[in-house]
This record gives sequence, C-alpha cells and structure tokens, in this order.
Amino acid sequence: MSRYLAKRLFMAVLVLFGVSFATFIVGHLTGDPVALMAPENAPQEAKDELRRHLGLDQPLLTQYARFVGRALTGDLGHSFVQGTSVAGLVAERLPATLQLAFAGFVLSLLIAIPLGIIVALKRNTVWDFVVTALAMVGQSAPGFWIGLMLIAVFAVELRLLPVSGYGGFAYLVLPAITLALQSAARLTRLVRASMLEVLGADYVRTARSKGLRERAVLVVHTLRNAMIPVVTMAGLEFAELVSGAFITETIFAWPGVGRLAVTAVYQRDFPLVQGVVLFAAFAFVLINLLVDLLYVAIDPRVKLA
Amino acid sequence: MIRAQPFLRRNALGLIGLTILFVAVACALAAPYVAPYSPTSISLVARMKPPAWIEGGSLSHLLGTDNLGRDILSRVVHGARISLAVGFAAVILGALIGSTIGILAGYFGGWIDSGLSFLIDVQLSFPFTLLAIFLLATFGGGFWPVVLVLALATWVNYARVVRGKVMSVKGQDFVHAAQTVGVPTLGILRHHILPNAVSPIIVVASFSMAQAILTEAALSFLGVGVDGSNPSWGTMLNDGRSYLQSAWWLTAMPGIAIALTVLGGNLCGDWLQDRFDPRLAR
Amino acid sequence: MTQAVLDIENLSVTFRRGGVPVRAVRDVSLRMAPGEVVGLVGESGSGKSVAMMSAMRLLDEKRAEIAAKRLDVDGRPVGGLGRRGLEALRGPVVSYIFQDPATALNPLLTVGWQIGEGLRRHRGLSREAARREAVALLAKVGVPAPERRVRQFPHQLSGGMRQRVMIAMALSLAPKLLIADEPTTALDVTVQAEIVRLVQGIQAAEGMAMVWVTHDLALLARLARRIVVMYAGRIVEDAPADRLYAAPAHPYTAGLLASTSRLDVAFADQKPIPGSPPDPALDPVSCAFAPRCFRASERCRAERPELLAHGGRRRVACFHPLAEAEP
Repeated sequence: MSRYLAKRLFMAVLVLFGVSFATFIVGHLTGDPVALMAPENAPQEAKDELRRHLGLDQPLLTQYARFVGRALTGDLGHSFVQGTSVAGLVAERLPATLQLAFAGFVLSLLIAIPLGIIVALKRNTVWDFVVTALAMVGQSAPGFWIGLMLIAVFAVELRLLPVSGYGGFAYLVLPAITLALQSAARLTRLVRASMLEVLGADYVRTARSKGLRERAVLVVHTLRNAMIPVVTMAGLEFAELVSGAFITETIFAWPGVGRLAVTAVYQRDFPLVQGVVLFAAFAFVLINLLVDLLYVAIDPRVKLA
Repeated sequence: MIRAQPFLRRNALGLIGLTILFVAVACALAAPYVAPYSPTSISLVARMKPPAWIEGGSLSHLLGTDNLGRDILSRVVHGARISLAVGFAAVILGALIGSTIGILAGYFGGWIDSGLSFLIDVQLSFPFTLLAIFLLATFGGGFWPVVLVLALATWVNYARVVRGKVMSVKGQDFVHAAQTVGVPTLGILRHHILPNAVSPIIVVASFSMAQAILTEAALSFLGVGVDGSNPSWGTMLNDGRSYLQSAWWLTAMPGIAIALTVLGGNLCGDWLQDRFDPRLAR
Repeated sequence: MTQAVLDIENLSVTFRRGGVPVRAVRDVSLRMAPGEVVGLVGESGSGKSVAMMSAMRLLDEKRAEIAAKRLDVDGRPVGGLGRRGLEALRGPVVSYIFQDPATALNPLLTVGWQIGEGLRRHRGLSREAARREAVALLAKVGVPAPERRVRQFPHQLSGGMRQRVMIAMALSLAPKLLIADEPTTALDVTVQAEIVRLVQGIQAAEGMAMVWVTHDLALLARLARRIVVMYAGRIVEDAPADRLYAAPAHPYTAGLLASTSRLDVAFADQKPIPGSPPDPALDPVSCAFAPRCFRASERCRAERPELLAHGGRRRVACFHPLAEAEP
C-alpha cells in the first residue's frame, strides 16, 4: 500500500512540475511584462531597472527556479492590476468557490447515483429511455446556456430566485443547479453503464445461486462494485468544479476563483492568471490523490499494485 | 452466433445522430438559400419580435428577431457555418496531431511512451478552458487561433486510444510476420498498424466534434472566439445575454442549435463505439 | 419409485435478443435419483450449462425464455416458485459450482464472507459462527491455513485455491443436488486432477446427487456412473457409463469417444468429427447431426429422431444406432 501511494505521490509532484513549467513558459510567450507595467513613454533606463528588479534579465531556467521556489513558499507574485498578493486574492475567493463546488457536487451525486441505479434496474423500460435521453441532451447542451435558461425561467419569469450575485442560500441555488445538471448528466450515464456491467457479472450470479435475498445481492454484491469507476469520474468532476467553474461563476457573478481568473484574463493580469492556473492544477492533483486514497479503502486489489 | 436484429432498431440512435449532423451541414453549406433573410440585415421597426408561436410574433420571423431586428432563424442557420467549420477543422488537426503521437508512442514504446503519458497527465491536470481563454485573449482570437486551441485541447483523446490500439495490434502475429520478412517500419505503420487504428479514431472524432463545438461556443461567449461579420452561435449567446430579462429567445435559440448539433455528434460517437466495440454494447 | 432429485420434462430455453430467437436447449428430459452422479457431455454451445442453470432459474429471464412440461428440483416445481421460494431452493437444496472462479467470486469481499453468506442467510448463523464454519469448510476442501485464508480476497489466491473456495461455498449448506459446471476447465492440468478427486471424495462421503458438466468425455470415466450426451440443444444419448464407453449407440457419442485423448489410444487414431455444430438460430426438422454423420440416411435428413428407450437402461435419439439394444 505504501508503495502504491509513494508512486502516486511521486507522479503528482512530477505533474505539478510539468504544469508549473508549462504555465511559466506560456507566461513568457505572452509578452513582456515590463511593457505592460511601465508607462509607454518611460525612459529605457527605467525599463531596464524594472527588468532587473523583476529578475527578467536572468536566464530562463534561473527565472523558473525562482518562480518555483517562491511558489513553494506560497508566494505566487503580485497582481499587476490590484497590486496585492496573488495568493491572498485566491485565498479570499476560495470559500465562495468551495461553497459552490460542494453544493453542485453533492446535488449532482444526489441526482446521478439514485437515478443511474434505478434506471439500470429498470433497463429497457420507458423510465430508462426517458432518463437516458435526458442525460444525453444534458450532456450536449452548453452548461452556461443551461444556466442562462435557468435564470430566464426561475429568476426573470417566475421571480423565485435572484438573477445573480452572492449572499444567502437563495443566491446559491441556481449556480449550484447549473453545475449539478452538467455533471449529473455525465455521471448518471456512467452509473447506469457500470451497474449494468456489474449486474451481468459472474459473481452476481454466484450470489444469487447462494439464495441470498435480492436486496443483499444488490447492496453487498452490486452497488459497491459498480461504484468503482464512478468514484474516479466523480473525483474528476469535483476537481473540475473546484478548479474551473469559470463560466458559471461569471454568469452568476459569483465571487469565486473562476470569476477572478476570467477577470484577470481580460485585464491581462498575468501573474494573477498564472497563480490561478497553478492553484487550479494543484487542487486537481490533490483531489485526484485523495481519490487514489479512497480506492485503497474500497478496492482490496489496489493494495498490491 | 448470428445476431440478426432489425436494422432500424439497432441503428436508430446513430441514424438520428447522422440526420442531425447532415441537416446541420446542409444548413451550413446552403445557408444563403435556406435562410429567409440575410443574417446581418438590420430592421429597426422589427426589433425584439418574439418567435411566431408567442403572442406578438409573426410567421415572417419564425424564431423572432434580435435587438437590431435581425432574423434569428437566419442567424442560427448562418451560425452553423462557423461552428461546424471550427468543429471540422479542429477535429482534423487534433486527429492528425494526436494519432501521430499515439502511433509513435504505442509502436516504439520506451521513453517516447513515458514522455507521452507524462504529457497527457500534465495536460489533464490543466484547467484547459482557462488556458484557452488566456491564450486567445493575449494573442487575439479568430478562426485559426480557435481551431489551434481546440486541437490542442482534444489531441490527447486521440493519442490515448490510438496508443492503446497500436500496443495491442503490435503484439499480433501479422505484424511480427511483416517485421520478420523485413518490411520497413514506415510500411508496417502505414499498412498494418494504421488501418487497425482507424475505427477508434473515428469514434473519438465524433465525440471531439461535439466537444469542439461546445468549447467554441464557450470561448465565443466569453468574447475570445471567432469574431467577424458572420454570427457564431456562441457570439449570439453572448449578445443575447444582455437581453435575457426581456427577450429570452435571443439566448434560447442559438443554445438549442448548439445542443442539437452536439447531440448529433455524441449520438454518432456512441453508435460507432457500439458498432466497433461490441463488448460495450448493451 | 423414490422422489427424483431432478425431474425435467420437455425443457426448452430460447434466447431473444432483438430479432431471431436462438434455441439453446430443445426438448430436454432428464430424471435423476437422489445420490446419482450424472456426467453431462457436449461441445461448447450444446446447451448443457444453460439447461442446468435453468433448473436453478439463474438465467437472465429478460432474455431467456424457459418452457417445460415439468421442471422439478427435489419435488418442487421450480418454474412456479416466487422470489422467496427460489431463495429457499438455492443453497440448501441445489447449488452450483461455476466454471471460472476468477470471475465467479466477488473481488471486493473476503472469501470467508462469501462462504459464510449462505450459512447466515439460510441457517441464521451469526457473523462469527459463519466465519468459524467457513474455516472448517476451507479445511475440508483442502485449503491450507484456512484461518488465514478466510480473511483474504480472491485475488490473493491461486486459481486452484479459488475453485476450492467455490466448492466450499457450494457445499456449505449440504445440498441434495450439486451442479459442477466444468469446474476444472479454467485450471492448470495438474490442479484439475486434484479438484476432480476432491469433489469425487466429497460426493462419495456425503452422498448428494451431482451433475458434472464437461466437454471432456475422458474425465467422466472415473466420475460418473451415468452419462448424458447433448448435441445442438438436445440429449442424443443417455446411458450407463460402462455401456457407453464400451459401445456407444449414437454416432455423435462414437465420434466424441474417437476424438477424446485417451492414453490407451495412439494419437494418430484419434479422429476429430468432421464439420461443425449447426447454427443455433436454425430449427431443422431433420437430425441436427445428420450433416456430420457417416451413417446418415435420407430419413435422417427429412425427419428428427426422438430420444427413445434403447433397451432397458439406455436412451438414444438415432434412427441407426451403432449398438444393439440390451435388456
């Protein structure tokens, strides 16, 4: 088990290095920060001074090493536009993002898991057809468009909920549903497919051949096995919610990390974008690591790997 | 065992998907003939007309008009051009890049393969939408930049399935036989490996088409997509958003167009996957 | 006559998947006395497993249609049993050893749990008592260090060990009928013999009836007193083992015997049967074996031979049996 985890951990660190390097390179390709920071008519000496100050006269690898070194101590640089620390800005927006991500994720699981199971048990009935079709359509519609339509119906037409903004529970409902529907569409189909596969497995037939109660066959021999691929996918979904509900946050004016990032992009606030990308990748890798840990708990075969 | 099922029943979903895609492509190709109006002709007297079936709407503008009095049906029909062109271009480019890398990694293995796996892991941990927005906002949008970014987003899918397929084919006897009689590597790749990888590539292409259209819409919605005089569905969504309070149809109609086209791609992908990989069929 | 442990009359099983139905089992009748050991032989696809699984209603009945004049296990009409009745039947009355222990055991549960489950369900044992019983059962099927093994998962066991676990599971409730469905096919040759000996020993000691399903006629020589041969969904011959080996009556049985690897027959003399089994979707009115049969006549191609008594102890479905009828 420890070897498995060590391997996963090593890979995670390696991937983070890769991501940070890619971010760093992309940052370099996007233009000269000095040109962005200094006034257009500043004298050349002042620009050189600034360049030296920022360490931009050093070789690329030295700059990268410094970038990583600072990132490791939690220093992601300073926002061009706001002048404050990037880490601070991200930390400030993180609670709102987490709140939305949790709400959307939990809602998505509450929809997808029961629905997927029921539909798998009632395979080839009208229920199955309707739910599968809805899931396919839900998977095909742009998530942000679903959000806009929800606003049009529930906020504009019915006036049940606020259009956008951040505040009490009422503000959370629509964005959370928007995220949940997208993710639930994918997960429902996966749960269904996975259930069907396990229901056809030899060991389920063995369980029946022992005269176990149908409920025991379902709970003990089917559900847990069927959840294995679902856990992977759900982990990815959650990671995506934490690291990138950009458009949903933008539509609903939700003050989270995603909206921070989109604003930063529009303002060409490069260090802020870089910081958010790094944060998002970190969150992604971390959550996947947690999923791997979860596997050790649910699948005894993993321990040997 | 023979499995003789009625053709229609077995292929229903695929046929629906193909029909949707066919209609979309036809609209795109014949847009000026299909669309009742020019997508850009402004009519200030006919502004914000609702769709025909709603009070105040008229049959002259089936899906209503927008804030400048432009006919939404015509704009949606013309919008198919950009969305599909971007989709097809991104699929072709992505497939070329991804399959090449996948074949090389799968066939040669070793460090090339390790390198590829690492690259895939890195890319999958990236918030790619954010990166795409960033690149496009910095370097400017437009048709080819968007296509390039979408190809970069989807090549991984091709690389993964092609690599897997090549690795399984590589071990089979006919490849060993070809190697033994001295067929050059390039010949083996072209005549023995590639044909076997075609079916997974087509499956991935269907799904990637859907993904590309969705992402293009998102990018255009954020204002960093394909700009130009012609409307794209994403741009229409972005324009319509400001009028969500008064004229929902500006947002609804292009969204439905996107959802339908993407559904077509997804249905085709599902169908092809079932056909090519019967183990997954249910 | 004592009550039969298995009594099947005119059993047919049809699989429907979309269009053309596939008839896997056709008109099979089989009666077994308590304690009797029957070897059920046939090529893969001959319907032997399907017939046995339908006796326990283990087939997916959304796809499989079961029809029979009689389908009784230990005097209970299986076809009319509800969910409760079936649950009470499976385990204590009849149990099944599946072919591939690698897929027939749940990978997420310990073998102890899986053996003890039936005991807890049918005998109301506590978790602890079921575990102790599982240890005893594992010891009985020759698993070393059973105390340790009960806590392990299937992937931690070798193929032979896993099949022993399956056997322990099937024996746990001392069923009146044990169906062993090619339990050695997925195993190494060296392990096969051990498993055969194990099951044979247990059967002899406990005296339950047993059906051993296999495609290997040679294997049955020391296992079964009675052998039933199936071809294309039908029983073609049913005879005492010694008679069948000495003088097969159906040409298919003769072909099977000739193609069987036997140590006393030189390899060059082993002849495969020419041709291949018919398409199970077709439903010919002729003898299904006629196209491959060296004795086939016009009549065989126009009419189907019924499975009829051929002497006192044998049944054969053939117009031109090879062996004379015996009393």
